[in-house]
Formats: sequence, structure tokens, C-alpha cells
Amino acid sequence: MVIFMEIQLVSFIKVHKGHKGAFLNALKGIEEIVRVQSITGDYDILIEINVAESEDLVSIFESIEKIPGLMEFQSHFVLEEWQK
Amino acid sequence: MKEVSRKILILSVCNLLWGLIPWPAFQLFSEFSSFTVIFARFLMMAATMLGIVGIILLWLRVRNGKDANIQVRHVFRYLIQKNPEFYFRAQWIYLLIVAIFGLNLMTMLFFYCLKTIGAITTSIGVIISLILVSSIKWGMGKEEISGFKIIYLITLIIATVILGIVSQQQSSSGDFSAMGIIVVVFYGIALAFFVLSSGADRMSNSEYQILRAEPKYKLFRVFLKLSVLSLFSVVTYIPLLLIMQFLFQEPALQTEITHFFAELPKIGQIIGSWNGMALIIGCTILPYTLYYLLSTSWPKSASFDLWVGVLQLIEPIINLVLGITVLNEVFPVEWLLVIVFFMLIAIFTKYVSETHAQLNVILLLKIEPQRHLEIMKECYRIKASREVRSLIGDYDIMVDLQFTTSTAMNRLISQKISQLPGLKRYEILLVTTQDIDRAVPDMEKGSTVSQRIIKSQISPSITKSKS
Repeated sequence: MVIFMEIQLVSFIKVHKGHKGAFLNALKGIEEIVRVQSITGDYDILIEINVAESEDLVSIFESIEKIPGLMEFQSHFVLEEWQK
Repeated sequence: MKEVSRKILILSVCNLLWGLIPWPAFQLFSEFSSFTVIFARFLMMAATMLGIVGIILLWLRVRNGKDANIQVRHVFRYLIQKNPEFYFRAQWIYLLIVAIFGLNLMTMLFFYCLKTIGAITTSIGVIISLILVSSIKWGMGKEEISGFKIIYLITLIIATVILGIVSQQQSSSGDFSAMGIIVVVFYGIALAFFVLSSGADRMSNSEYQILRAEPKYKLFRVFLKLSVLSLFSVVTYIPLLLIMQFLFQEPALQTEITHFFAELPKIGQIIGSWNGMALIIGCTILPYTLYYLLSTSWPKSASFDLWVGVLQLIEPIINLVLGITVLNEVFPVEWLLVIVFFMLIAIFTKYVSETHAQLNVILLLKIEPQRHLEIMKECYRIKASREVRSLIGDYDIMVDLQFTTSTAMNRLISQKISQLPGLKRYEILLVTTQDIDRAVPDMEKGSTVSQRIIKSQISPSITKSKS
């Protein structure tokens, strides 16, 4: 029996100066990225990734790493989510 | 047109169609009891929705054979599963309660008021429900109160008071009674209960698995929910009427109920008439289907409940206009303009408070072990918080906050966050723009757990340490 389990990640991205607009556009092309927010602080962009299997993350991370302008990339797994 | 704008437009159409109910209803009232009209409405809705559910099941069975991802057993599984948003009761109990106290009672009172005291006074009930929904959400910590929201509530209260007083004055020459206002208040309470409870059934983990295998499950679930709701409404309708007949000795109510039992064999006449079809299809099946479809696909960035609150104001405005123009009800035009003016202010202030003057903040917390659940609960209780997430990584908890002013944010950080027990460090990130929002809406998302570790570039970040 196949058990489907959603895997959710939040990732913080820092990009080189002048690349943010193009970087955001490139992120729109990755279907598994369900939310993208521009933020202030140490990082420039916050993304939320939803996938069915962890193997899917490999290709998503490869796609993100290929986008020109990437400086730093930090991810956190979401264990639990409480919404109002 | 942006996706959210399109959905807001469709939600406006739903409210417009609901607002038009008095038009065909009044034509039917000349021949039938208001309770007969409602019964015909629910009966046809239940039959149509059950028919759609049956067709979907049959179609999937023919297409996929025994391997169909949605089968009859899933219907029963849906009904017996626990609903965590409704005191962990079985889903069928939740739907039964919503059907009795939400759909049935709300509609009965609405139609009864419509027939006995007119569309204009009945619209008070919608406004009362809006005030109740907003106040209850604030009390439950789901909404933060702001200047705009206070103006919104004040304008609604003023509009309600003016409507009540002017209706009372007009009634001195008519057959309006104080009992009418009491029934309208009960209608407002029933409507508020329906608004608050109708969406409280997010998908379970097992349903999420079905959705992965069969994306049409989302659509199927909407029709299944509507069919069960309307079926429960039909089944509980007559017992509820008998209870009302026993409890309330109001002559007009007694007459309406007596006529209902006498008119039961004539239900086909209502269903077959143009007015009946307009009421059942145009003002019932269509808006309810659209409403629930929207509730399952609403963008995460815009609160569905809040937009329902904003656009629900369309309904009383249409009721007022219809009452005077089409149904020839007596109401001073100058007061009508004053009420519409206040309603427009309410729509504007509600819109502004929900869409502008918002400060979206992401708060990241690093905490001591053993304090995790306690801090998550503390964060969830903060009125400004919209989401609380438990994380594996550099930080342990991520909180999505929404403020109306930077003062409110500063106050929360200095008085609450920095005082949290076991807090090691925290970081505040301001969200400047929301670039993409394709997230699954709240009601479809179950809690997910994963313990796999992913290789990612971890870099140190500047954080504030608890002093």
C-alpha cells in the first residue's frame, strides 16, 4: 500500500543585488512552491514548498540552485502547522 | 483578472442571488405557506445534490472499475470520521447540527420574517449576524480589533438601530408586532451560527490521501457535504416544525404551520412553477454550490470568512432595495439612503481593514527543549497570529503574524514575545510582498509530519538574543 504524506518546507533565500525580480519570476515556474514572500532582514525571499515525497525535493532544489543570482539558501522542515 | 479578484466576484454573485430570494419567494407566498416553500427548496436541493454525488460515483466506477479512487465506502468513511474542528464529534453529527440549527432554523426564520414583516425589517437579521460573527471571532482571538473594524461595527449597529426604529414607526399603521423583531434577532443568531460553523470541517489525513490519488475528490466532497446537509434539513424539517408549533403560540406562526401540513401534497406545484424554479435553482442550488466550491479553493492569503463578512452586506442592501421597488413595502426613502450610506461605509471599512494597513510579519523562535508545545500554544493564542508552525532546522517555531500598526507589533514583541519562558533567541522578518500564493486552503490541510533530514546549505543568521 502506498502511503501519501505531504512534506512541507519553508526556505529562506538570499540573492545577489539586482537579481531579485528575475529570481522571483523563475520561482513562479516551480509548481511545488506554493508560496513566495519577499521579506526584509538577513534573507530576501521566503518560500514554502509542498511535495508528496522527499525525492521530489532533489529536483526542486536543483532547479532553485540553477536560478542565477542565488547567494544563500536555508531550509526548515515543517513538523506541525496550526492555522486559525 | 487576478484569481482572488475573480473569486471575490463569484462570491459577490452568490450574495446577489441570495439577496434576490424575496422576489420569487413573495410570488409564492401569495399561494403557499412560507414553510412549504422552504421544504420544496430543500427537497429539490437534496435530490439534485444526491443525484450529482451518485453520477460522480458511477462515472468514476465506469472509468476505473473496481480501482476507482472514490467509492461508496468513502462516503461512509467521510460521515463517521471525527471532526477536530467540531469537538471531535463524528462528521455526520456535525452536519446534522449545522442542518438543524444553521440551515433549517435560519431559513425557516428568514422566510417566516419575510412573509410576516417584510424584506426590509428582515434585513436587520443579516446585519445582526455580521455584528455577531465579527464579535465572536474577535472574542475567540481569530480577529484583531482595529480602528477600521470598530468603525465597521459601529456603522452596522447604527444601521440596525435606524432600521429597527423606522420599521417600528412604519408598523403603527400596519400589522407589525414586537414579536417580529424577536424572531429577526433569532434569525440573525441562527445565520451567525451557520456562517461560523459551515466551514469547520477541514480534510482528514485519510481524505488527503484520496485527494492525492484523485484530484476530483475536492469537488466530490463539496457535493457530498451539500447533499448530506440538505438531506438532514429535509429529514429534520417536520419534527422541527412540530416543536415550533408546540413551543410558540404566535397566531401567524400557527397558521403558517397548519397551512404547511395542508399544502404538502401540492409541493409539485411549487417545484414546477417559474418562481419555484428561480428560487430553487437560481437562488439556492447555484449560490450554495458556488459558495462551497469557493470555500475549498480560496487563496490562503485572503481570509474566506472575512470576505464572506464583507460581501454579505450586499444581501441586506438588495433586500432593502427590492422591498421598496418590487415588493412595494413602505419605508421612507431618506432613511433608506441613510442606511445604504452606512452599509457602504461598513463595506469600505471592512475592506480597508482586511486588505490595507496590514503589517505581515514572520517571527522565528529558538526555544529550550521541553518548552515546545507550551510556546506553540502561547503563540497560537496571540490574536495577531494566523499560523504557527513547528520546525526542524535553525529555528523551532515560526509564527505568521498580521498587525494593523507597527505600535501593535512593538507592544507584542516587547511585552509578550521577549517574555516567553524558555526563549533562547528570536528573529523578526517583515513581509514586503506576497509574490505567489498557491497554498492549499486551511480546510484541506491536515497536520503533516516528516522526520527525514535534507541536505541544505545552513548559514548563520543575525539574531537577537534574549537579554
